[in-house]
Amino acid sequence: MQIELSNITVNVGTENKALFSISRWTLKEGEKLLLKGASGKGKTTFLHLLAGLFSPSRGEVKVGTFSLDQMTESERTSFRRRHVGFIFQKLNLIEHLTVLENIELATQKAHDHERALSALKAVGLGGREHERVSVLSLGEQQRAAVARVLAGHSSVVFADEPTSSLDEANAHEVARLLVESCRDKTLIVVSHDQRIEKYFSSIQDFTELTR
Amino acid sequence: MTPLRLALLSLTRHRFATAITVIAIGLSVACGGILLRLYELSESRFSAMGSGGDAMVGAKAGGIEILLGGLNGEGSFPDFVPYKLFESLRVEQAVRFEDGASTKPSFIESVIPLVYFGKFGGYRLAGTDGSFFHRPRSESLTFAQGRLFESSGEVVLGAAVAQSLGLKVGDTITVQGWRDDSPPSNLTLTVVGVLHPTGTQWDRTLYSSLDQAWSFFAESSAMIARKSIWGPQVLHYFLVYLKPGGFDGLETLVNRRTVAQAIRISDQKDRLQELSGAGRNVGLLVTSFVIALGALAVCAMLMTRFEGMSTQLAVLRALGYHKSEIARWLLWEGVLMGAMGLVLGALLDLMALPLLRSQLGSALPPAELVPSSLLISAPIWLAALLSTVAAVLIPLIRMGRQNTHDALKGI
Repeated sequence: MQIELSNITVNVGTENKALFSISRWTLKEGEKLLLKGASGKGKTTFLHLLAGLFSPSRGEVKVGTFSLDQMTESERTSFRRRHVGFIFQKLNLIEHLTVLENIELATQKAHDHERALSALKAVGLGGREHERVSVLSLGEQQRAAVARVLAGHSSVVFADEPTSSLDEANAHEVARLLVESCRDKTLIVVSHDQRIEKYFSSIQDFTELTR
Repeated sequence: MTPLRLALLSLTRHRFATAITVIAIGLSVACGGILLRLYELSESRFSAMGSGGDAMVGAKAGGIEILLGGLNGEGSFPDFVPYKLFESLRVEQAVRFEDGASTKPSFIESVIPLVYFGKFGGYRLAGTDGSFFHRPRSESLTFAQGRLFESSGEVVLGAAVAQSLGLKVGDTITVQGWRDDSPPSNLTLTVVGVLHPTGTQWDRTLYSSLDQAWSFFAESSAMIARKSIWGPQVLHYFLVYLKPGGFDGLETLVNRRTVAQAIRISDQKDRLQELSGAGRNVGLLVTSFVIALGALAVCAMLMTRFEGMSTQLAVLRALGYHKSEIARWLLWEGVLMGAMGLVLGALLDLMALPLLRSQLGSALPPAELVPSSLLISAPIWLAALLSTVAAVLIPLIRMGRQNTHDALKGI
């Protein structure tokens, strides 16, 4: 899915303070972008904008053929369900569910075990599907989150600081898995983790993007 | 994953919290149900009480005790009053007292004898005569089948007795005699009549002749020696129809000068209603509080649970779960916990009421006379279920107001 932004202005807070603005920006379908930048500049808000979780004060957000700014909240939710995969820095998973049940949250059909199991196997968590996520290490939890993206039917994946809490080995493993699992998908990772830059075809500084 | 599955998983994975909440709801439902059933039982005393004219005469006791013993067949074996006093009242003969005084009652319209002396299938057997059935003021009891007993060994059945035990005219029954001694002996009686239903205690009574009762009492000289100075010719109660303004005369005659006591039925019913009315109102108030307490417990638990999961709910929203799906998850949790609480509460209600009934003894009508169906508690179940669902509304509103973007920014 190609992503296009035009004439975006994002204001936040009760004082409607300008956070960032983007005159025009396009990401081609299938591209893997690492978006770098210092904290507090609006990277997370940018991702939420692309996922339809946040509406800009002004401007157009187009993901594929979907104009998010024209859609209702319910339509944007359905859009996320069908087309978007999400990975966060931590707390990706529902604690009281097992690994498999967490993966099934993203599958379209109820009890889509096979798809969920093969996704878990792909991220090296085969055989651990019935364990509670609370017993997994942080690295394993992030791999489970990648498996959830794999098991879903998303064509665009957003990841918000997916490796910043991980040690060296896990950061590389998760980044590699993420890029590999998104072979046919458009991927945007927001991160200031330099360890994972080598896995991306495109790296952009968020400050430059919003200039 | 469906909202129902999410709810089931959430409930089973938070077993301890779920169990505590279900127990809280269960106890609320049980308390509410028991209180409501006690209320209904208390009410049944008025709606199902036998009709008995204007006044009653029984052995000296509390007025309510005489009322419930005579017209509702409640309590233990009553003390006797002499048949001679009854006879004097019936024929308006002069009643002579040991101190030489005498009085001639002229205030009686009709008087009916009543003595209980047997039990059959949970129902009481009363000894009486034709006056019990042929009453003044169009209050007569009519026969659906057969006729009045004419001799010893014959019995007439109230409508409920015949219906519940499947008896008809010509059947022979063995009644367990009741005369406050042991071992009890049996009486074999033939059904000669069945009454039309009246919707009162009289439907739940068997009737035989006074002679039958007295010959049964006469078999136990020890009991007669212990309980009667008048020999076996005794009664438990007289039901009295009075001429206008006649109660004062009856009261003066009976209460001051004899071993018996006259009560005005309407006064005692009012007194009973007043006594139990306050208790009933308090009971209903407590029931409301108890149900509200259960609902608050669910509300508090769900709020705590979902507040702790606010970021996880935001993750679900980011994954494409609609607010309506999360709302259904919450509602399912509430409904399932409510339903489990209801089942637990109904079981506790079922087990506790007989226990409570036995503890309260004669304060309640006996179970064999006034059974209490568990379904009486159904309004409590409905109220509890609605309260549980209502309790979900608060976390539901909070979830609806949650800004997913803000909730996810902290992750």
